[in-house]
Amino acid sequence: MAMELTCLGLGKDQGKWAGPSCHLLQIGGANILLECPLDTTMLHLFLPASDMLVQKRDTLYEARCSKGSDADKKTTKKRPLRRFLDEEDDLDSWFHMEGKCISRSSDASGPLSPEKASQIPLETNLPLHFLRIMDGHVFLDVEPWYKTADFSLVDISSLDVILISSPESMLGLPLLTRSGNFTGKIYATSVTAKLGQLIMEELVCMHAEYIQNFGSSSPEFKPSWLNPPAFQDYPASFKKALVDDDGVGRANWHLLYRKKDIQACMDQIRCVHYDEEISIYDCLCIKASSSGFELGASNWVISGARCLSYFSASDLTSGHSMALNVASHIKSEVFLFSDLKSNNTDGYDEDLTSCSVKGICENKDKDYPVETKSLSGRCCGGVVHDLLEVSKVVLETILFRGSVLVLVNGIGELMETLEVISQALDNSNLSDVPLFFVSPVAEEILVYTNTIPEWLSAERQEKLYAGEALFRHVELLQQGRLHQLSALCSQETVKVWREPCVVFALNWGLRMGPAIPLMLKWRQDPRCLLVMPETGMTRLALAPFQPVQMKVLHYCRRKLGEMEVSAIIEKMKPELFLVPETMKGEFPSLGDSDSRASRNDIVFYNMWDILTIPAPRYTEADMMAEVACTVHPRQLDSGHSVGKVKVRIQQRGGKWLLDLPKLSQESDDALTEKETICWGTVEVTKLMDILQGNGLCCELHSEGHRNNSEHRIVVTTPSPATVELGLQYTIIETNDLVLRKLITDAVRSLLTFI
Amino acid sequence: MIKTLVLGAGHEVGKSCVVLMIGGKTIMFDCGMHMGYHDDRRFPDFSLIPKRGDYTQSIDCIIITHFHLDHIGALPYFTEICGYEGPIFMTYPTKALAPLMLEDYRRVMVDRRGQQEQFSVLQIHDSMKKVTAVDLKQTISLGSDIQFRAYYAGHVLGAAMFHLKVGESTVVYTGDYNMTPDRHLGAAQIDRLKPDLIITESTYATTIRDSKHARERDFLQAVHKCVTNGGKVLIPVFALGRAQELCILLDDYWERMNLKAPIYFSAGLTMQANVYYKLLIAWTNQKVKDTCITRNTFDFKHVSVFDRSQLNAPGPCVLFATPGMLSGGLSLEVFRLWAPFEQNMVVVPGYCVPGTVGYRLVTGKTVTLDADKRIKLEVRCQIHHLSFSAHTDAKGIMDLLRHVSARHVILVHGEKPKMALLRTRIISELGVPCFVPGNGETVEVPSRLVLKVLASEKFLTKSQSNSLQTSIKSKVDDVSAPKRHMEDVSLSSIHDIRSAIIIMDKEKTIQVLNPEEALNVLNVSQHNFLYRCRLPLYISGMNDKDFNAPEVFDRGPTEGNEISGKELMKPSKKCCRGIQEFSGFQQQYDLEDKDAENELIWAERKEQENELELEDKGAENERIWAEHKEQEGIPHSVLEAMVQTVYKHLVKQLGDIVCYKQDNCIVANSVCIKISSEKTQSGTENKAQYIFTCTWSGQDEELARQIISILHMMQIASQASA
Repeated sequence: MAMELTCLGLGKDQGKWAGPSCHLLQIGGANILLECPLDTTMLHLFLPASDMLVQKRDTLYEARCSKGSDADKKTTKKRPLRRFLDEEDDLDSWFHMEGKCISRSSDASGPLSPEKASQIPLETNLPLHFLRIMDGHVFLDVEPWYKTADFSLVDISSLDVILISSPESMLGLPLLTRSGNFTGKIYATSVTAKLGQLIMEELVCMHAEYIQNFGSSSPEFKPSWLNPPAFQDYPASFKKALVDDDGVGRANWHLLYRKKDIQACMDQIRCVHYDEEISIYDCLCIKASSSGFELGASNWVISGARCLSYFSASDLTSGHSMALNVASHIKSEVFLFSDLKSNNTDGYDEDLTSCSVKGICENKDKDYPVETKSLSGRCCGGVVHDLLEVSKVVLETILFRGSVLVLVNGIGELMETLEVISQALDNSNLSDVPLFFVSPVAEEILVYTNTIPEWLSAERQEKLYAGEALFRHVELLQQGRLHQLSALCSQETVKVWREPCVVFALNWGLRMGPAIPLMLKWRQDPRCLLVMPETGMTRLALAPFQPVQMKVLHYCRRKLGEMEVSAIIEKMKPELFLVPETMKGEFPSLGDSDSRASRNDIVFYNMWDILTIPAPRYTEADMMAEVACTVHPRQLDSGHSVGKVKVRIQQRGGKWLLDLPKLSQESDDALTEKETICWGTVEVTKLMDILQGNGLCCELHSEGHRNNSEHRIVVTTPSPATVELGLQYTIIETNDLVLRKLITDAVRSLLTFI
Repeated sequence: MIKTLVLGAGHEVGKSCVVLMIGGKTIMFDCGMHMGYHDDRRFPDFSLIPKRGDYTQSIDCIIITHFHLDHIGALPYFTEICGYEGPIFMTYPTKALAPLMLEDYRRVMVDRRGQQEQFSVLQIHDSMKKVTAVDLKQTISLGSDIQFRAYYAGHVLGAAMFHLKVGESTVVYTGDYNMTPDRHLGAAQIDRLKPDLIITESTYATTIRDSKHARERDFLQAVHKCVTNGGKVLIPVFALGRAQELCILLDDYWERMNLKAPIYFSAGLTMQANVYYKLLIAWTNQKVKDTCITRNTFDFKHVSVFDRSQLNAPGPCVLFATPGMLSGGLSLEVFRLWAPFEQNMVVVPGYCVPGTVGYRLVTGKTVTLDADKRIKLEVRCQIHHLSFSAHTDAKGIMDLLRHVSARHVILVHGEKPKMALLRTRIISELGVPCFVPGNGETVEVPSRLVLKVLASEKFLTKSQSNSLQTSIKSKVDDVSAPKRHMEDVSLSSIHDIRSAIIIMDKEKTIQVLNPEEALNVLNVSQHNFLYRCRLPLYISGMNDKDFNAPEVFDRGPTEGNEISGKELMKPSKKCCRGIQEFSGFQQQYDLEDKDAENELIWAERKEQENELELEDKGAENERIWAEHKEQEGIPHSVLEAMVQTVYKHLVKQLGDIVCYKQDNCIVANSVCIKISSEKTQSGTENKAQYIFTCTWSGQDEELARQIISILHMMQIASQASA
C-alpha cells in the first residue's frame, strides 16, 4: 500500500543533460509511468540535414586546421579519457550484449550516399569518421537516433498505466507500444493526444526528409557510434550526454518510429477530459486537471491509499490554454513537482561548452545576453519573458526589411506568438508582411485548434460565446496574410513567398525541418532575426551554422518556479511535496519565512532516487448502513463500543467499501466466523461458585504454582477434568464433552468475548 | 431520502423543471418553458419550492441539460425576475447556443406576436453570465457534498445527462436523449452508475421507431418530388438542432442529385448558429469530427440566407423557417402564404406541443385552420410529418434504464397515458419501483446510507494481495475483450470476506480493525482459551517406511483450500505461541529465544509460502520439508525420530492444512501436539509409550479431533504391523 516513486528524468530545462521529466510511480500494486518523452535536445548532438552544410564542412575543416593548437588540446584531453575507459569499462561484456563483435573500423552507420561519402573530408585528428567538429563542438554526422527517458531498468511489461500530460511528453510513446511488451493503458486528454499525434507525424516527416538526403542506418543493430568501442574517443561530457558515464544510457537510444507506429500507438490511448475521474482496476482513481502550459496539457491527481498530485510543467497564467487548476488538488496529501523553472542559470551551457574539443571558447561568458552578442554580432536583448517584447524586436526587424524565423515549442505558444506578432504588425501598418507557418501538419493544427473551446483560457472561451473564431489565425488565413505551407520547397511556396516575412515553425533544435534552409539563407544577413525558445544550448544549436550574423532572440516560456511553487504550497498545505534536486538551492527562502514547516515536508529527488511514501495507518472507508445494522455492539467500561461483524471488502474507484457478504459467500467462509477475540481474567472463586452451582465436585489446587494468579481446578464428578487458569489463559482438559461444554460456558461467562 | 418535486414536464412535454431535495441540499434540473401556453402556465410554478429565504438561498444550484426552450426557457425569468443568483451549470455548447435560442424566442414573441416580453435581451445576457460551463465527464464539486458529472446525451449539440451525488445519494437526470446516432450527433453514452434514482424523459414512451434510414429517404424523396413540381417546401424548425441535421441531409442530397433549387435559412440567426457548430465540432459524432479537417460539415454549399423579398418570388425552393411547430413568427407567416397551394409542402419535423399549429397539422384531419382569430385558412398543401425527433424511443428508454440499473425510476416529459403504459412495463420487466408524478407533486425514494469509518491499513491490506491477483486477471480480460462502450468497465469483483472488529470510541469515531489491532486499541491482551487432551499411545516401528510412502503429497490441493490454508496461517502462529507459552514450554526453554526462533521460522516459512504459489505445490513442499529436515539434522534420539515420523504422517494425512514441526511439537493451525516419551515398566526397545499432549483452541475443534483420530489410527497401524 505504500507508494514508491522513482525518477527517470529530471526535467529538461535544468541546463544539464538530465533528460525530460519522467517518473515511475508504484502505488497500491499498480505501476504508473508519468510521461513518455523523447529527449529532443539530444538532436543538438547531430548535424542538421542539409547538403549545403556538407560544403560548409569542408570550409570549416580548413578553418580549423589553420588553428594548429586545437588538435593539441584535443589529444591532451583524450588521454585521461582512455585511461578511464580501460579501467572501468568491460568492453567484452558489451560485445556479448550486442551479440556480435564489432570492429572499430567497420561502419555500421549505414549506407551513406556516395556523393556525400566522397565529400567527407578525412578527419585525421578524429579517429571516428562519424564525428565532426564544428565551431568547436563535436557532432555526430549520422542519421539521428532518439533518446527516451531512462527506461533501461524498467520492465515495460509491468507497466499498468501511462499518464501523458502534454503533447511534448508523448513523443516516445510509439517506441514503447511498438515493442509489444506494453499491455497497460495510456491516458491523455483528447487535445494532448491529438496534438501529440500531429507533432509526432511532423517529426516522422522531417526525419524522412533527412533520410531522403542522407540515407538511413540499419534498424537491427545499434549504429557504431552507439557502440562501446567508440565511446572511448568521445569527449567526456559528450559521452555523458550520449550514454552516461557508464554507458548504460545506450539502451535508451532508438531509431525513430514510423507513421504506422504512431497510429497503432494512438489506438491505445484513452482520451479523457479535465476533471474526469477514471478508475484503474478499482483500486486507484486518476484525474487530469489543467496545467495551463499547453493546449490540453494536464496535471494529474492520483488517489489510492494516499492522494498524490503530479504537477507537470505548469503555468499560472496562460494566454491560450485553460489556466492551472490548483483547486482540484485540494484533497492531495503529496505534491510532486517536475519540470520547474530554475532561476539559477549557472549550469547552463556549461556541459556543452566543455563538449567542445577546443575546450573553452575565447569568450567564455555564462551571462546570456553577452554570449548572444558574441554569437550574433548584434545584441537584441537576449532572453525575454514577454511575448510583447518579442513582437517589438520582430517589428524592428521587419522595419529594417529583415525576415524573422520564429521557432516555438508548443502549439499553444505558437498560436499566441502568431497572434501577438500579427497584432504588432497591424499596429504599425505592416499588415502586408506575409506570415508563414511551415509544417507538414500545419493545416491540421490550424483547423484543430479552432475547435477546442473547452480547453482554452477564459478569455478565449468568451470568443466561443460571442460566436467568434477562437484564435486569430482563422481571420489571418481568410485575409490571405497567413499561409500554411506543408514544406518550404513546394510549388505553393514559390507562389506566395515574399520577403521580408515572418516564418513560424516548431522547434527541433535547428536540426530538422524548415529551420535549416532558412537558417542557411538568412544566417549571414544581420538584418534577420531568429527567435527561439531558451534551452541553454544555443551555442551548440548554432554551431553548425557559424558564422552567424543573424540576430538571435531567446524567448523564455512561463513556467512554475520557486515563487509559484511556494505560493501553491502555502495555499494547499500538502503533507509532503517533492521537488527536483536541482531546485535545492532555491527553496530555503520558503523555510525561512515559515520555520514551523521547515523542511519536514519537502523532499528533493534526483535521478533514480526511489522515494517511499508510507501508507497511512488508517484509511477512510465507507460502511453500508446495512452492515452497521448487523453489529451487536458491547459497551465497555472504557467508553468504547465494540462489535464484531463480517464484511465484504470492495474497492471502487480507489475508495474502500464495506458491504454485507453475499449469501452464497457467507456459507463458504464459515471458518472465519470462529475467529474471536476475548480478554479478561477468570476469577477462580467465581468459577468455583459456578461450577459447584452446577453440581460439580471440584477442588482448587494452587500449591504447585509459582504465584497466586495461576490455579488448577480438578473436577472429579461426574467425570474427571482439570481446568488450568492463568492471567491470560485457560486450559480445559477433559474427555467428557458434556462436561467440557459446561465448564466452557462457565469460563466464558467470566470473560469478555467479542 | 431523496425528495423529487416535479415543477414541470409532469404528464406533459414542455417546461421541464425538476427540483431534488437530498440531505438538506436542493438542486434544480432544467428551467424550461411551455410553448403551448401563453399565460402563467408557461413557466414552472417556482413558488412550490420549499423556502429557505429567497430563491438563491433555497436552491443550491441549477443544472441545465440542453438549450431547448422547454429546458432553458424560464432561466432568464428565474434569474433576472425571480432573482435567483446562485450557480448555474450547463455544457459549453449549451452555454454558447442558449442565448441564440432565447433571443430568437423573445423576438418572435415580441416582434411578431406583439406580446409583452417576458425578459429583455439584456436580461438574457445577464442571465447567461451567471452560468458556469462544464465539459463532459468533468466531475464538478460544489461544496463538500454536491458532486455531479455530465454524460453525452445525443439529442442536440451539447445535450447532457447528469449524474448527481449528494452525500451518498445518487441520481441520474437524463434530460432529453437519443440512443441512436444521427447525421451530426452520436448516441447517448453513460456508465452503469447504479444510482438510487433515475429521472428519465418519456416522450416516445410507447413508440418503437423503424429504421431512420427509411425515414430519411422518404423525406428526401418527398422534398425532391415537390421541388421538381415547382412547389415550395416549408420546414418550420427551431434555429438549432433539427435545422442543422436536416440541412446536412439536404445539402448532401442536393450535391449528389445535382439539384439547383435554392435552400434558404430564414434568418441570419441560423447561419450564425452554424458558426457555433463549427467551433463545437468536438461535440458532434465521430464521422463529422474526422472530416472536419478537410471540409467542415457545417459549411453548407447549397444553403443561403433567406430574404423577405423572396417570400412571393416564383419558382421552387426549400425554406427553413423559425420557430418550429408553427407557433408563430416567420414560419407561421410563410405557412399562411404557402398553405393554400397544393403544389407546396410543409414538413413538420419532430414533436409538436399541443396548442401549436404544428400539432393540429400533424394530428388533426381538418384542412381548415383558424390560425388567426380573424382569418380562416384553408390548408391545401401537402403535409409531411417527419418522425425525426431526436428523442429516444421506448426501446431506447428501456435499454438505458436496464444499463444504468437504478433502484427507482421517475418518468417525466411525456404524455400521461403512454407514461402509464411504460411504467407498467418498467415495473414488470425491470422490477424496480417507477413513479409518474404530475406537476407540483413530490415523490420520495429512499437512498443508500453509508457510514464513514476508519479502516486500519492492516485490515485492508490483508485483502489487498487478493485484489491484486484480481486486477491482473481483469487486465488480461480487458485486452482480449472487445470494446463495450455501454458495458460496465470497472469490475467490482475485487472483494474479500473478512471478519472485522468495529470499535466506536467516545468521539463516535468508528474504527474497523483486525482482532489483534483491536486488542491493542482496547489495551487488553488476548485470553487464550484452550482445550487439552493427553493421549498415551503405543507406537512401534521407528522405520519411516510405514508412513513415508512415496505418494505422500499426492493429494493435490484445490484452489479454495489453498487460500483457506493461507488464511489460517496467522492465527495459527498466534495460537501456537500462546500454547507454547502456557503449556509448560517455558520451563525448558528460554522464552525470548523461543520467540526469536519462532519469528525466524515464520519469516522463512512466509518466503517459502510465496514460492509455493508459483510452482507446483506438491513437489515444492517436499523439497522445503526436506531442507528443513537437513537443517535440523538427522534425528539422533528415538524421541526425535518419533516426532519426525508422526509429523510426516500428519503432513500426509492433513494435506491442505499447513503444519510444521518444532522441537517436540507439531503445530497445525492452533492445534499443538507435544510429544514426550515415557518408558513403560514392561517396555521393550522398540515398543515405547509416548504421551501426546494435544492443545487447541475452540475454533479448531474439528481439526483437533481429526488429528487425534489420526494419532489413534497410527497406534492401531503400528500395532498391526508389529
